Amino acid sequence: MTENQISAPRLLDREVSEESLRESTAHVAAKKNIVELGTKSVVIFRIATEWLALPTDVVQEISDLCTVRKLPDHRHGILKGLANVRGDLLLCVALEVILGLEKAASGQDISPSTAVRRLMICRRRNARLAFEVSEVHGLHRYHPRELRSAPATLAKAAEGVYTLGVLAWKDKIVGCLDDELLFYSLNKGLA
Amino acid sequence: MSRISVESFGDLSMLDLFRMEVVTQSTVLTEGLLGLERDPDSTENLEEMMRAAHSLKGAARIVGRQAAVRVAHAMEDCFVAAQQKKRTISSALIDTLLAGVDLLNRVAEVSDDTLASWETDQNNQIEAFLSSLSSPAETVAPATRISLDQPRVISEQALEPVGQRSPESIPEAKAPPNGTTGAAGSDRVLRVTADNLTSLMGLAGEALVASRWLDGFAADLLRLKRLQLQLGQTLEGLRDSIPAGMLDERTSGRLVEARERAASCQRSLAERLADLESFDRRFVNFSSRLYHEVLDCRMRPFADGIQGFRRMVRDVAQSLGKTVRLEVKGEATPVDRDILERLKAPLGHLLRNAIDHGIEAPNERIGRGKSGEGTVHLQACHSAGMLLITVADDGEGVDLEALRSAVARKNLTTLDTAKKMTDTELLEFLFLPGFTMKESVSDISGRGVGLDVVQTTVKELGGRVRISSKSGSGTRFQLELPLTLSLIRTLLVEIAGEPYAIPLARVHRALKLPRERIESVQGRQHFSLHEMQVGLVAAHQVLDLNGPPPADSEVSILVLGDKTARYGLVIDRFLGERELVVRTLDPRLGKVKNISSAALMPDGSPVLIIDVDDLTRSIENLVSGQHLSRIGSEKDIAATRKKKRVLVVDDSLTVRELERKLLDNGGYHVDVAVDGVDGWNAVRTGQYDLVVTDVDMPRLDGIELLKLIRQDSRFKSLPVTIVSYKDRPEDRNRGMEAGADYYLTKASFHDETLLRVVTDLIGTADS
Repeated sequence: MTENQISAPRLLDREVSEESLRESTAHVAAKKNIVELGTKSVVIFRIATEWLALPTDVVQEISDLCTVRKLPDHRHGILKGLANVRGDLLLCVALEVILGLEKAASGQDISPSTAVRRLMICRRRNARLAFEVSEVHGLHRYHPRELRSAPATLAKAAEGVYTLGVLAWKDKIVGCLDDELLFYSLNKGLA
Repeated sequence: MSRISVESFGDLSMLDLFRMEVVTQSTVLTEGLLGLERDPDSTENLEEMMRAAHSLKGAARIVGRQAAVRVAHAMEDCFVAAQQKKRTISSALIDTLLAGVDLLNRVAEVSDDTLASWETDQNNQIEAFLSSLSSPAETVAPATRISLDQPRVISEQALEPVGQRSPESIPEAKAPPNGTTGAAGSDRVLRVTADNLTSLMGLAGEALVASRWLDGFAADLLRLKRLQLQLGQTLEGLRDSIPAGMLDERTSGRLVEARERAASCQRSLAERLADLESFDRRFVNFSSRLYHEVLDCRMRPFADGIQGFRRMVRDVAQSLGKTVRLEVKGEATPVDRDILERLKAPLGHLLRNAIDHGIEAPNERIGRGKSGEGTVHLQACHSAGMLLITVADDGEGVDLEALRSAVARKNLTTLDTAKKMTDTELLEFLFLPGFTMKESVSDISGRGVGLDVVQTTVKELGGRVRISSKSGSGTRFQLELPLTLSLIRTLLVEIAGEPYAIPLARVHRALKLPRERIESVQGRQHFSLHEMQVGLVAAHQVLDLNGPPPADSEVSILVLGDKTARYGLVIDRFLGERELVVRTLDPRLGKVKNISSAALMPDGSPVLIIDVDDLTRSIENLVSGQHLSRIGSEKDIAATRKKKRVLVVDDSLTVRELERKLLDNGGYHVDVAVDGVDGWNAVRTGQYDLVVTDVDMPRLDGIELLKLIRQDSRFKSLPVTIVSYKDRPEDRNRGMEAGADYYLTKASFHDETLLRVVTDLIGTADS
């Protein structure tokens, strides 16, 4: 018998230490961290003073700000101009205009630093759009039941309701955007 | 809708793929058959056509197109028989086989829904085709072969008289003209979607921009190197400045150590810098090559754009009772795919013209000592950075005297002036819209539309047309075009603080003018240029931008426009000349006023390219004071806001348009949506007073849409009318239960019930 053949059974037959037994028991007895089904993933970002969220699958890329070239045609209220993102000329829109944030929060940007400002590039049904945001937090998962309805003042408004509901996140309230309607209106607004 | 964009072949249906295959293979078949007609002994053509017919048969079987299976099968058999020398392909058989190609194309066009009825309708024709193909009378037809061969032999000797021929071209003309099939075989061709190519070009361009960044970085490192050098010198100076007696051993050791470290830093930096520079060179070289290679992908061989022409020339000539041969040269010449696409119509027109007007009837030709068979030359080549395309015939040439009198007769000029004109000046008249010399209008040409269209297209592509003619020996058109549309030379200027690019070809002149040379007439500023007064307009005003140009002692001016009207556009300053890669603007924008496209600057920032024609119109509007009308149009917009707004949801374009027109005539502002989902989005924007919807629609039907509307507290009371083909009571009940205010059947368009119902629900348009 070689040394290995002798030592292997010895290793397997050895007495299990008290400590290791305790550790294994605790591990097996611990309450399982069950991942809840049906949760949704969103990207949380900020425009001026408002925290907003869009489904992760429509957000294609978050990049640094770049030069946005204005178009000399004033009929496009929501169009800011053209931006070069990885060699593609993308339309850059003003989300704050379509959401009606500009009046509510003009000059109240809580961090005047431009270092955290980003360009969010979204893609829905092959159509891409970019918009500038004041800050991007990152990804967040929530269950639809956590979604509270938007305040009646907004929900009852006749036009421009793009909020599905609101989420409590950290100590803040985040408005979850209706991407379907938002991109429908943005695309219409460009024409 | 914009959503329907084809991203990859994965999205195509089997039928779409079959259609693509039919297009490809029928080109092979047509080219092969025409090649066979010119050279009946060419066996490689047979082999290729047999394979094409075989592939088509298989493809047709997959998509269940029995008619196509039978036609392709019969054609395949015929080619196999010819290969085994059991059958000769006569001219008449070529006609039949070409008809078979047409038949295959028609089968491919039929939609799945109408296939069954189409097959029944066309059964006779298909049977006739099959029997004519298998009929034994066709098996041997030597008579037709001889009659075809004869003029071919004569024509080769009769080629010399054509004026502009170069001597080298004659042996080439004798070679079997099956260049297309040869070229296709030598280089494998892949299908790539235009979108893929565009994003590839974007990335390659970005790589080029990124590579240039290294240059600046290397310059920064050079500065660092200088600083290190200074540090070394400072250390050196430090040692010298310490009096000899003060320097103890420890300090001295430290100093030596510091100097050594500084020196080692310098060495290391110098090495890294050298590495970086060599990497920079390689990277720049590599990315610019990548970029140009991708740009080259936009080029296609000239042969790709002229595939249908041999067939067309044959058919047109046959219908006119003439024998005409098309000689193509430079089939491998690379041509920008966009230019090639746009040139198809003008070239087709020039060829038809050449056959109809240029080439004489066979007996006339023989009477003049020419070969009975006419020849049209189509040639493409690159010359001095331009693409030259020549269409030349060996016909009678333009009768200059007749042209002179036609010009005078049409009062385009006086006979005296016409007599003084040079030939070239006179021939220019052929390009005038509506000008024709033909007394009778034929199906082929002579309507006087065409040559002006040729010229317009070529001008739009940034080129020009030249025409020359030699009485008795032919007419020749030469198109001179840029090599590519994707690269243009531009002048970069700054207007209201933003850069803009203007196609250099459209700039008449760029100059800086001292302020005192600007004069004024009735408050309008102008200056003189070559004894011509050029009026000045401020570019920022034309483009409706804020920020007047800087008040320097010199004014930067771009002179635009043509001989009839020249304008001086005042800009902030010139930024220089640059070659730019043109990018189309996002189609969602529609036409952007004064802007044609965009491009990227070397630093990666976007720049807009000005549409000079549009800009000239804007200048004209501005100077004639028509900007007043813009205020008027704003009033119009206000008026539409006040109108009642109706949303029409229907998946049928016809019904949608009918309803839209009906309600539009009633004074309502109407928007349309193409299906339930689209409709629900539109409803939720909350701009509508009433919704008219169909029931059967893809994605979300009318009943579901209605339920969604009624469930939303905001739209509970929004009036909704259903208009549907379904008129059974249970359909009606379903609609009313879901919350419709009215349920109409589609017959109601005719008696204006729809309009009455709408007025009933929401009142008249402006109440």
